[in-house]
Amino acid sequence: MKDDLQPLLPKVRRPGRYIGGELNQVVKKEAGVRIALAFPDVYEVGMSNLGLQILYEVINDLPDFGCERVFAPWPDMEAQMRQTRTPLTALESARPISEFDLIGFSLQYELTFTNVLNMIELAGLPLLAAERAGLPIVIAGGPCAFNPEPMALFFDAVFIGEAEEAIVEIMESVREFKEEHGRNADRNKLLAALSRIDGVYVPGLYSWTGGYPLVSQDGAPATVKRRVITDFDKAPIPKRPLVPFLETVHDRCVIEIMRGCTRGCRFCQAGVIYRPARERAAATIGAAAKTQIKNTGYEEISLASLSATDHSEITAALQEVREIGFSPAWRVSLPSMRTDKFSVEIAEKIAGARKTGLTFAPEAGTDRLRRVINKGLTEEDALNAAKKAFSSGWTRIKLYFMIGLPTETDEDVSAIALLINKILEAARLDLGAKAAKRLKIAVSVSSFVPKAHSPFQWATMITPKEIAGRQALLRGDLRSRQVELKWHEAASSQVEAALARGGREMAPVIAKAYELGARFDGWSDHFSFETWRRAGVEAGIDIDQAAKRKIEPDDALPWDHIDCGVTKAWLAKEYERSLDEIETVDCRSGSCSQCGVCKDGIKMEIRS
Amino acid sequence: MADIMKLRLKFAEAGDMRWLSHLEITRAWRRIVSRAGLPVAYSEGFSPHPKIALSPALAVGVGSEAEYADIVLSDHVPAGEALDRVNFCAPMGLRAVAARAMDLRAPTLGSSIKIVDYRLVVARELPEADIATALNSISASLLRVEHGGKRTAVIFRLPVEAKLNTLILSIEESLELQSTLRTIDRVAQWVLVDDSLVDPIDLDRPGMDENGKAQRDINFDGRI
Ligand code: SF4
Repeated sequence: MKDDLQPLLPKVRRPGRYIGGELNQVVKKEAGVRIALAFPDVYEVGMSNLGLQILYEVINDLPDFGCERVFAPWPDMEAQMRQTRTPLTALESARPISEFDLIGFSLQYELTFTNVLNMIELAGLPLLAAERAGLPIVIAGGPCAFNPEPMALFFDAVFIGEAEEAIVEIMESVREFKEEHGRNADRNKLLAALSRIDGVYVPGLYSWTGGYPLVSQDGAPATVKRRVITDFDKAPIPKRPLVPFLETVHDRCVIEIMRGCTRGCRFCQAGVIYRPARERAAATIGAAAKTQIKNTGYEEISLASLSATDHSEITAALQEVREIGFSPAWRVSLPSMRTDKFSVEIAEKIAGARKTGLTFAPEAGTDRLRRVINKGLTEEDALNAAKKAFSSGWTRIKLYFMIGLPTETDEDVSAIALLINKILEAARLDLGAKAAKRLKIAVSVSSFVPKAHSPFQWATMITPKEIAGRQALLRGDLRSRQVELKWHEAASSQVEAALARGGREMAPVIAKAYELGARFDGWSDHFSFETWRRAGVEAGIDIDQAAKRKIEPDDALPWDHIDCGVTKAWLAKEYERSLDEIETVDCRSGSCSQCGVCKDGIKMEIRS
Repeated sequence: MADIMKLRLKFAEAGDMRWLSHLEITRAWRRIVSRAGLPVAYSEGFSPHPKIALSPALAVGVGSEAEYADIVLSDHVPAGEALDRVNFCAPMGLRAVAARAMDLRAPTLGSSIKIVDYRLVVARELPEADIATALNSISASLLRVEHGGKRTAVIFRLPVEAKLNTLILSIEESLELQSTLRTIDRVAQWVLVDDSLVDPIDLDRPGMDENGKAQRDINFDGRI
C-alpha cells in the first residue's frame, strides 16, 4: 500500500511530510480498534500540536487500540493524489484512512475547516455525515468544537473538552459495535451509544429548523457537558513524543505545566474553555522533562501553559528542568508570560547570555480599554516590564496588540503608539541615547474576533473598512525606525469571525468555499476572500454581515446546547461589567467570581 | 571541553529515509547522537552546535548504502560501543553499519571524498548498448549491469561534483524511462589514497587496530 504514494513523492515539495517513520512512532500490526488522528493543516504545524502527542501515546499504550496520524496534504500533493486517484493514507501503516474505525479531527482554528472537508473527500468518504454508512466514524475535538454547528453536518460526532479519558470510552464503544454488528452495520446504534458518553455530541440527534437552541431527540442529552480532567498532576504526559525529521513549528519537547488560566481576559475563549486552572507539581514537571529528553534527544524544552509565570511553583519547576542541562545547547523556553517585572526576571534566568527576544501582550493601548478586556495590566506594569527587559540586556522586544475591541475609540488606538513611544523614551533615560538607538520593538497587531463561550461572544467585529482606518491611524503615529509594525490579515479575520459564531447555516458556505478551491485558509498566501464572498453569495449568506453580527443578550445562541462549564449568566455578567469598565479579580487570589466551573469534583488545583 | 576524538560512522539511508533532505538527515543525527548519550563536542558561541558533519549532500529521493558522519567527541568512546549505542537510538532506515575512531586532524569527509557510485534500478529490461550510450553522454563510467527478471540494475561511477539530478534527467530521457518506476541509491563513496579507491571508513588511524578499537586498556564504563 505504501507503494501507492512512492511515485508521487518525487513530484512534491518536502516529501518527508508524508513518510512517517519518525523516532518513537508506534506501528501496531494487530489492533481491535484503530483511529487516525487527523490534523487539518500541514505536517509541520500538526506535529507541533501537544494534544496530538498526548492522545497518540494514551491510545497506543493500550494493547488493543491503535492510533495513527494523517495531516492535510499540501496543494502540490493534493493535485498528485487527485490526478492519480490515490486515497488519503495514515503515516504509520500507509493504510487508507477510510479503512479505520475512527477518524478524529483536531479543530484548532476555524480557518482549517476547508482542509477538513478536503481530507474527508480525499479519504473517499461522502462529505455529509448523513450520507456515510458503517465505519469509520468521523469525530472532531479541540477548541473549535465548542461551537460545532458550522461543521456539524460533516461530523458524525463531536467531542467537547479534554479527551484523555473519554477517548478510551469512545473507542470501547466502537469496539462493542464492531464485535456485535460488524463494520458495515447500521451506525445509528453506535451513534446513540456515543451520545450517552459524557462530552460527546452527535449532531444528527439534534434537529435544526433554522432556529436555536437545538432540540435533542432519541434520548440524546439536552446539553452536552464538557469533559474536564481532575487531578491534572496525574494526567498522562507524553513519555516518548514523536521526533519529526522535518523542522516543525515547535521543534522541541513540550511539557504542559498548567492547564487553564484564571486571569479572565474577556476576549479569550481558551481562558474559559480550559477552566479551572490546574497546575502540575514542579517535581512532576522535572521528572517528565527528564524522561522526554532521554527518549527524544531534544536539547530544548518548552514549559507550556496559557500564562506560565502564573504557575505557583514556576521558579522551582524551572530549577528542575534547568538542571537537566546536559549539553551546551540546552535551552528552556517559556512561551506566554505575563507582562510584568517578575516575568522578565524569570526570563532572564532562563535566557542566560542568549537574549534573543521577549514577548509581551498588553493587547490594548489604554488602561481604560485594558479594564474593559480585564487584562489586569496597567501602563505602569507594561513600562516596568519593558524597562526591565532592556536594562537586563534584551535589545529586542515584541508586543502584541488587538484592534477592534469592544468600546475601542481612535484614542485607544493612538495610545498604542503613545505607549510604544513611552517605552522608547524610558529606555533612552535608562540606557542613554546611544544604547537606546539599538533597541527594536516589533509590534504585532491583530483584529479582535469575537469567539463563542467568551464574555465577548455578544460583541461585534469591526468592518474591514474600520480596520483599515485604525491601521492607518496607528501607522501614522508610529514612524520610529526602531519600530517594526506587522498586521494580521484583516480579510481572513472576517471569515474567522463568521465561522466562529456561525450556526448550521454556515455549512453550505464552507462546502461551497471548499468546492471553489479554498484550502489552507489560515495561510495568507493561500487565503482568498473573493472565494469566500462568492461562496457566501451562492449559499445566500453575507460573510461581512455574519462577521459583524451583534448578538442580543436574549438571543438563543447556536452553541447553547454545549455546556462549557462556565455559566452563560457569568459570561453575560462579565460582558456587562466590561461595558462598565469594571474589572473582575483573578480567582487565583482566592476570590471566586462564581463562573460555575468548580463543581462536581472539578476544582482549581494550585500547588502552593 | 576539549575535542578528544573524531568518530566516523558509515550509515545507510534505507526505505523512506531517501525522501529526507540533507538538512533533515543532519538534524536526525543530532537527535540520535544526543539520545545515545555520546559526549559530542559543541561549537562555541551563543548558539552552540554539535560538531557533526556528513558526507556530501544526497539528493532528495536518492537512498544510500554508504553515507558517512564525522562526530567530534569530547571524551573517548570505543567505536564499537558508539555503534551499538547509536543503532539502539536510530529510527528505522537510518542504520549505522560501521564505526571507526579517527584522528581529530583527519581530512573532512567533504574535502576527501572524490568519487561516488550509484545504482539505478529500473522495472524493465534495458539493452546494454543503450545504457552505455546514455552513461557516455553524461561522462559516467559504467561499473556493472545486473539483469534479473523484468528488472535492470545499472551501477555507475561519477566524480563527486557531478550534479546527479540533472544527470538522472538526461539518462531518463535517453533511455525513455519517464513512465517507468525507478530507484536510485548511492552504493559507495571513495577517498583516493595513492591512486587507489578507499572506503572512508577504512582509513587508518594511528593507535587503532584494524577493528577500529583503541589499542589501550578500556574500563568497563568505556573510558580510556
Ligand atoms: S468557579 Fe470560581 S474559582 Fe473556579 S474557576 Fe470559576 S471563578 Fe475561578
